[in-house]
Order: sequence, then structure tokens, then C-alpha cells
Amino acid sequence: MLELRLVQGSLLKKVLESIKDLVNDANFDCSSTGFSLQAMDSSHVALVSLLLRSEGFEHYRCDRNLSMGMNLGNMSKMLRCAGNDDIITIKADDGGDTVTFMFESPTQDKIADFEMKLMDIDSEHLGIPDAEYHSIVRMPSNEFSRICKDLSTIGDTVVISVTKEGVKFSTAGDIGTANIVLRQNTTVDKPEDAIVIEMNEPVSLSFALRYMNSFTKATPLSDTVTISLSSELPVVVEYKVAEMGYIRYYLAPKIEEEKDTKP
Amino acid sequence: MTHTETLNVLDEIESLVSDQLQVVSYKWLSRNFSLSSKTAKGLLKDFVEKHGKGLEVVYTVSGWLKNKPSDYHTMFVASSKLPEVEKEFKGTYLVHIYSVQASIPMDPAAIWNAEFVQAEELFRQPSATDNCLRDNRFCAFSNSFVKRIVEGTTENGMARRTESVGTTVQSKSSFQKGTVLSNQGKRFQNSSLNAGHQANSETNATPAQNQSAKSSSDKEKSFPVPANKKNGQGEKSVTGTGGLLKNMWGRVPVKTEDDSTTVEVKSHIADHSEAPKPSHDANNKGGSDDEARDVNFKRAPKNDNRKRKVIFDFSDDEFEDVISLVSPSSPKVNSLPDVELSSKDSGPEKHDADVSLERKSDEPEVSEEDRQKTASIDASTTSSMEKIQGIGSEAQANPSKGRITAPSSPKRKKVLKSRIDDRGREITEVVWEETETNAKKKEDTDTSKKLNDGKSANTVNRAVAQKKSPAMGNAAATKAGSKKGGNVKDHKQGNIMSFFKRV
Repeated sequence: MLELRLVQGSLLKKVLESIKDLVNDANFDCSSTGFSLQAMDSSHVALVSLLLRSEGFEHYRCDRNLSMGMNLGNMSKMLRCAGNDDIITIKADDGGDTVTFMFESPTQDKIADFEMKLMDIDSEHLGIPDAEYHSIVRMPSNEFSRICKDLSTIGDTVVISVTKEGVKFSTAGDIGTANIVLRQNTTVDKPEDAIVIEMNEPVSLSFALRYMNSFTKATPLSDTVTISLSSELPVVVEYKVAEMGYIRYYLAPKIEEEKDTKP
Repeated sequence: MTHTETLNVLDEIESLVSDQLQVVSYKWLSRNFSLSSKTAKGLLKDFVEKHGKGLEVVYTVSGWLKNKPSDYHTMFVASSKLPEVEKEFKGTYLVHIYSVQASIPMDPAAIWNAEFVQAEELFRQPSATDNCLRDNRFCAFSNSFVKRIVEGTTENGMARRTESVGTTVQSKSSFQKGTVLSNQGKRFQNSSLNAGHQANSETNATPAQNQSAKSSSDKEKSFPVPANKKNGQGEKSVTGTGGLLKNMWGRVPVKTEDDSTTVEVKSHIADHSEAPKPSHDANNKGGSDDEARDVNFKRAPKNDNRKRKVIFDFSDDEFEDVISLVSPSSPKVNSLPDVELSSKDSGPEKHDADVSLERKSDEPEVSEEDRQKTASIDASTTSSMEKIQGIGSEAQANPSKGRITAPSSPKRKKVLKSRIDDRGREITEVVWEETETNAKKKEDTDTSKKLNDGKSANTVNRAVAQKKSPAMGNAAATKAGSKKGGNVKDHKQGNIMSFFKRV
């Protein structure tokens, strides 16, 4: 038996909007610690990892670990039927083949039940080691979104380089090139506007803007985004989900020409 | 102050700083909780020690600087820069916590905002109300000759009365206090100005006044600093203390430096604006057409940009006459020096002078055609089909013109064009051919794709123009290309599976 009651239902809606473009089908894993998801995109270039801790739910009951395969497009369709102020409850029986989403209006005068069929999904669960990153950049999420959007009109690859001067996003395309440099700035009115750059080692990596742009779908979830870079590792783009968890996107860098490419 | 009270205050500070993002300064604290400013600073220090992680602290550092002649300085310093700044002071200097906040505000005036609002409220209270701003009870300096007058009436004679020294510590002369009271109304008006304003007036205060401020230890200062010393410092300190003091004391600003600074600013502006102005004017006169032209010229070789703009600067009124009378060669006279200097490909233009007569005879026909076509185009701006036809045939006419005028320079040809603009006026332009095609393209951006298809196949000129402006011609293609690139398997793209192992 699984019953998760989330007062801020809009969070779940936003979460779905931020992963459904990247992943079609995925297993949601429920355990006593929380509600989580790990999935790769179809080309195995990007990975999304979601965690909503049990403490963030008003009511969290999960008798035994449960993995529910869902089509995220369909799930998103159902969640779109919930109002932004609605309380969302996710219910499922152990061994059942459906999941129920219940939407309660804030005044409790409207209650909607949506039952969705589950599916069996073969998914490979990857172990993500905790790593020390060479550079960590924290910046306003809408700024990051804007940069990715702007750069993708010029080229299809972004080079993110962190030096002691700041972080540089650059791209090149047929029509020209673009460079955007952000410098550390903690002198701001609101802490979330700060650009904080922690650099242990300078790093420069290229990434496909197409993926970066789909990561920025999570912008409504959080005012800030944290980008962690290491030369030997995929970049991590992390958005906090209120106080209750996070969405982390991992993206494999583009490999430099001289190195062997995987088929 | 008991331990529990301290804890309560610390909790309150924490919620103010981290939840409401308020700047908590020792002054604010002192007034809000009726503490002496010394205790308030101590509390802030405790707070920073206990909860300081992730918060920004602003310190005041005051003392004599190492420079000669030595100045007495008081500075506001963010915690990160404290060690650096401390090096500038010699001997003993004071370091106090001024305020605690979640982040250093972009506008330094925001540091004073909270206490300013508070001071305003305290002053606004009826004069009978006893509050901490009615006297200097929290000041470190005491003057036993001063009596606290809660009623708000001013009696100068009171200053000499020694019998009742009130319950609290007092510090300033009653003369000063009298001024304060009588000026209260005025001050409140002043205080509606924003902090920035006040900062200015403070900067301008005369040394004399500042000295007096120094001698009359004002209630807010626990560090006696002559205000005029602050002028030499960074904006922060000037803005801050200035704003506040001015409010508190209602000092009349005296202009000393203000004039010079404004003059500076003005001349500065003038310098900047002079150069670009003429060309801007030129561009603005002709409305939409000129805008289009402007855009094109930016793509032309850099050096002759400016001259060319001048050539094409026909104001609307004179436009028709000028064109029919002036031969294309006259603009060229202007542009020649530049052209010679700058670009090779414009060298052949000299030939234009020789053939200009021929061209003149040619042009009326062409422009007549054009006029009709373009008129129809402009009349039906929405129909893209018509545009394509119009431009297509125009383009066909162009090559012949080109051949007559300057066979050796296919890139730039001068052409006379007439058309009816959107305001219904007839406009005749002498333009470089390639420029004009661009202008057309610019106008028709919405239909540019179709136009490109139609044009590029058959016209030399179009092709040339496109080559010169890759940004326009190739934009669509590039975008499509890059998108395709995204979909096609990218061999350089790494695989996430090579980084993480399956569980």
C-alpha cells in the first residue's frame, strides 16, 4: 500500500513538466525514504535523477518498496488536470497495475480521482558515485535558461569553461560565435540572485545545447541552479525542489576529437 | 540583560535576517529593543559567532590611515574584505559589527533602509511620547547638564540646570536638541527623499558643519568621526552615514562640490553624444526606409560607413527634387576619398563617373517601372506573392543596369530607385545596388524565405548580396542545419553509460 499526500501539488506538476521532454517512460521508485526516479534519455546521453524526500509530504505511507513504471507523457496529462493549488495524493496497491492520482481543491469541495495504468519498464539503474567536482557554479536559474536558449540559436554545442575570472558559456555556429561570461557576484539584494563560483581547478567542457535546453524546463521549480563540472565526469545540473528534494540532470560531455569515440 | 532575553533577541535576529531578509544593524537593534548600542553590537557579535555561517556581515573599521598626512577614516567593510582593509590602518583601530544580512545589497543604501524607516517612525510619534530618539540615552557620551524633555518644548535655559539628571544617560547640548525639535517637521519632509539623495547632500556639507557634527557627539555615533573625512572614501560609507545623519539632524546642505561634479558629468555626456549624433539624426529623419538603410550599411566595409550615411541623408521634404537633379556622381565625390582609402573592391567605382551620363538616361525608365511595381507592393503589403513577383522582375532589370554602369564591379552599383513609402510619399533613392536588395529583404523579412527561393536562382545581384550578408541569407538555412545536426547521431557526443556503472 502506498499513499503519498503532497499539499503543494503544483510541485509535482512542475516536476513532471521538467522531465517528460527528456524521458518517455520511467520507473518511479518508492521507499520509506522518499519518492525517486532515475532515467536516461533514449540516446543514453543524459540522465535525470529525481528525489522527493518523505519528509516533504504531508502524509507518506509506503509499506514496502515499490517500483511503478509510468509513461511520463500520460502522467503529465493527468497531472495537468490538477489545479495549481490542489493537494495531490498518489495511491497504489502493492502488486496492483494501476496508480491513482487524487486531486483535492484547497477548499475540499472538489475531489478528482484519476487512475492510470502502470507499465513494465526494463530500466537500467545506474550507480552514481559521489564525486568531488572541480568547479561548482550556482546562479539564478532563469539566467541559465536564458543563456542556453540564446546560445542554441547560434550553435548546437556549448562550451562551459570555469576559470578564476568566472564562468564562460560559448558557442559557434554557421552565422558566428557567442560568448557569455558571468562573474562571481554575491553583492545582490536577494541571495538567489547571486552568482557563486567555487573553483578548485579550471575546467572546460562541451555539451549539446539541445539537452541543456531540456534541462532548463525545471526552471520553475527553483530560483537557483547549481552546475557542477569535472573534466572526467558528466556535468550535473541541479534544481532544488522546494525543501523536499532535487532534480539532477547528468549530461555526458562531448568528447574532444583526438579521443576515441564510442560507436 | 538576562541570558534568556539575549537568546530571544538572537532568535529574532535570525528570523529577520534569514526569513525576512532584513538588514539588521546595531542601530536598529538598539532602538528596537531599547538596548545601548554597545550591547547591540555585542549581541550582533554573539549572533555572528553562533549563526554567522552563510550570512554577510558588514563591519565598521575606524582609525588612522597609514598615509601621510594621516586621515581618520571610518569604513564599512564586508567581512570578506576585512583583512585587506585592516592593513590600511595604522596602530590601533576599531572594528565593530555594523550589520548582519543575508547578502550584501546591490545598492549600498539598502543597508540603511531598515533603520531609516525605523527612525522615521520614531520621529513621527507624537512629541509627548518617550522614545529613544528623544534623547541620547544610548550614546556613549554623557553630558550631565542636559535634561531630557519629554514634552517636546524647547527651553534653552534648561541647559544650565543641573538638579535633575534624568534616569538615563544624556549626551548632547540642549542647544542642539532645540534645533532638532524645532526642525522636526522639516526633517520629516526631508526624510521622504530617498537615501541616495540624502547621501549627496551629506557629501556636500561644509567642513564647518561637519566639525560641529563631530564636536556635538550625535546620538547615533558611538565612534566619533569627523564626517568630512568620509568624502575621500568609497561611496558606501558616504552614502550610508550621510543619508542617515541628514535625516536625523535636518542639516541644510551647502553646495561645495556638487557643482563641479555635475559639470563633469555634463561634459562627459557631451563628449559621448557628440560623435554619434549627426549620423543618428540622419537615420531618424527618413523613418522606416532609413532604418533599413542603416542596417545595411553596418554590413558594408567599416571605413566608409559614416560618409555613406551622410550621402543618403535626404530629408523627406527635399527628397524628390534632390534626387532628380543630383546625378549619382555627386554623392560619389563625397564617398570617394574614403573608398580609395579603404577597400579594393570599390576601386572600380571611379568608372561610374565616366558612365554616369549613360546611366542617367537609363534610369528614368527603370525607376518608372520600379515605382509602379513597388507601389503595388507597398499597397498590398500582406500579399507575399505580389512581392515576389515585383522583386523578381526588378531583380531582372538590375543586372542590365549593372552591366551598363560598372561591369568590373559587380558588387556595388549605384541605382536610382523610386517607390511609394508607407506614408504615401514618393521616395527616390540613389543607392548601391547590393544595399538596396538588402533593404528589400529587410522589409520583407516575413516572406524572406520564399523570396530567397525566387531570387537566388536567376539573379547575379541577389547572389552577391546574399554573400555579403550571411546573417540574413543563411540564417534560416543555418538554423535548419543545426537542428538537423542535433538529430543526426553525433559522434563526438559521449555516452552517460561510460561514466556510470549499472547497479
